[in-house]
Amino acid sequence: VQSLLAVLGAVGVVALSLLEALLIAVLVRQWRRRRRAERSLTERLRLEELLAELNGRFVGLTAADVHAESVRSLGEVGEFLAVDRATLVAPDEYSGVFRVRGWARPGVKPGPAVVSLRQFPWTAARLRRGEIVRFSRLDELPAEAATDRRTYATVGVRSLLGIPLVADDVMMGSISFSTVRGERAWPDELVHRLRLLAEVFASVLARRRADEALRQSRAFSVAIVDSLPGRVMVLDRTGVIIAVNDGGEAATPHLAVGVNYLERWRRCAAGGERGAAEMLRGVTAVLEGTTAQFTFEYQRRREDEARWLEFRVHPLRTEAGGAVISRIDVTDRKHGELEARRMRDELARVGRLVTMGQLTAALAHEVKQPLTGILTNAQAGRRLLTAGPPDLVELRAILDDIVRDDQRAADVIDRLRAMLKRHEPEVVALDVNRLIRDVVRFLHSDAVIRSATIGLDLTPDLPGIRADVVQLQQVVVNLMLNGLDAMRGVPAERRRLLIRTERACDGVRVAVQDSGPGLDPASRERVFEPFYTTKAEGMGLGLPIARTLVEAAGGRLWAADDEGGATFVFTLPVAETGPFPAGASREPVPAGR
Amino acid sequence: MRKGRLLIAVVDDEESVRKSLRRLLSAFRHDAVTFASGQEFLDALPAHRPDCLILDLQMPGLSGVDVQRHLADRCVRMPTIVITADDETRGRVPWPGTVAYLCKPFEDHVLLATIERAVEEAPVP
Repeated sequence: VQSLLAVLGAVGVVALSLLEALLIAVLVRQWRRRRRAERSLTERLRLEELLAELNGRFVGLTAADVHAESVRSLGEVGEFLAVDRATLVAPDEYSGVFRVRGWARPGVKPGPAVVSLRQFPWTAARLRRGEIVRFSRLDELPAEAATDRRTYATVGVRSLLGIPLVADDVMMGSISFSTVRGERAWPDELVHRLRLLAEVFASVLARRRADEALRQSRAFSVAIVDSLPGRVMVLDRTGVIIAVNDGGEAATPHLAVGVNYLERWRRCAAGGERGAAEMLRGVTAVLEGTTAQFTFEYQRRREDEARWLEFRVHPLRTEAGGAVISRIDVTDRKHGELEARRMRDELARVGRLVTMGQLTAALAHEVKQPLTGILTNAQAGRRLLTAGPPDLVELRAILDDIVRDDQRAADVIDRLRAMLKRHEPEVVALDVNRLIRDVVRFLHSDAVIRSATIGLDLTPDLPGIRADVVQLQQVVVNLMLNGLDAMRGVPAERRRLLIRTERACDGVRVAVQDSGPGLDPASRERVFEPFYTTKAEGMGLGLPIARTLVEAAGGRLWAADDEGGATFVFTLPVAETGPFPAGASREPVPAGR
Repeated sequence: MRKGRLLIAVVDDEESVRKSLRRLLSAFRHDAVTFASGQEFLDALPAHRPDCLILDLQMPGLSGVDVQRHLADRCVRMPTIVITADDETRGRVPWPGTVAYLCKPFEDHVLLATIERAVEEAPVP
């Protein structure tokens, strides 16, 4: 019994020991499991802390520092995850290649700095679709990823987790974590956490891209504005200058940021400076949005020097409003224009002298008619006085006629002087029908001498046209003389010059048609070349001068294709006034009355 | 030679010239009949057969030369004094019947002397 008890005791001890050992083992296992759970929780917390810290780190970072910070952060995460490489892959902004930036564990060879999508077609396609790429071993990669597998093997990757970076539905690149020394699993929970990291990176890259675009756009605008030869100012909606370039000029205090540009013009306008009020109105209208744009030429006088400035005011089409004003010194251009105009006017005047030279016979005829009337009347009066008791009624009639004829002679001379005198051309609203009638009167004697008739077909109530009266008379005289010359070879009874006026879409049209042999198509343009002439006399300047004058007035002059004879047509723009109510008519006026 | 009151036709498109010549000729006791165009004169020819014609050269429609051509065609010979405002026409070869070219404006005594000469030289019809 004792030995049985001893055996039972021993068995009991053994059983107890075993039980104890089992208990210890269970406890140890439980403790280990708890430790693992605790460690996992701690790691998770640490990862989350790390992610939160990284997120905060990118806030307020300048664009230039983003890449360096990304590499540093990837290193910290990589270290924490105990991987060998942690990289950010993003397309290069300028070249379009995929650049790899990142971290590699000390002692591990870094991966390639640039990758091509051709090397990772399967990976790239998945990432583009917004899907993650993960494999614990290379042989987990599917058959269609054969190319990718070879490339991974070449660069030593044995396991990898790649997460796409997507911001606002735009694929910005990817981040990836990989091992080269061994294989590693990528549990879902980790993937979930790292997706958060990817979101941080994506938003950082998106911001960097937006910053870069903004910076480029600013640099672009500044470079353009600075390169402009004139002054460029940007005003806010109240007229305060918010940006200004130097335009190659010395800095002036009234053209500086913060100065109210409108105030300056207000002062100039109050001081009675010419044009200042108009400029002020224009800029204000653009700022208020009542005018789409405003262009203004302004003459600035300083000491004894006058400069011409051209202002262009465009609205700033932003919510805040404002305007951009460019100011260019156009003095040289203006002098050039004035000189060209002076030359043109002088040429026109010389042209008039030449024309008058051709008209001497007609002008002599024109003056001699009233002179004949005056002399003959005077002699008749003298005879009445000597022959007996004078007939006072008849004498009075004679004197009246003398006065009238004298007036007529003076009118001819006045018209001649007006055509010849040096005058400052003045563009005014003109009644073209009236002007044509005046010219026809002027050329009446010339037509009589040439045995030609002049017909008029004038549309009544035409709007006024913008031109200088003397220069437009010259145009009509030149065209009429040209037509009269052209009819020299035709029988006298067929020499008929017809002048028509009518309304046209681009103003008022005047046509001068002769009944001469006409122009062949090749000559139609050549007749406007200086010194081109088919006449024995004449310099070939009449038509070129006429065209120059018409074009200077904003019109066009051409030789039209017409049946029989030649037709010269010109148009002139309408002046902004109502029609002339002159009793215009369609009557054919014979040259000789 | 015929002296005394003559019937003189004046053809000129210029009213002032016609009117003043009529006055002058009347003051010198001649009868003047005026026409504003060559055609008017030719149309009135059967009714008037003037002793002398004062004819303007430059006229619209029929010119002075045209009128003289028509007269020649009708075999009408009439002493004619051509008046012109254009000096250059004076040197022209005169059309038959032309007694003189007078340049406008002309003196009354020259005109009267020319009329006298024209009438004297004219063949008696």
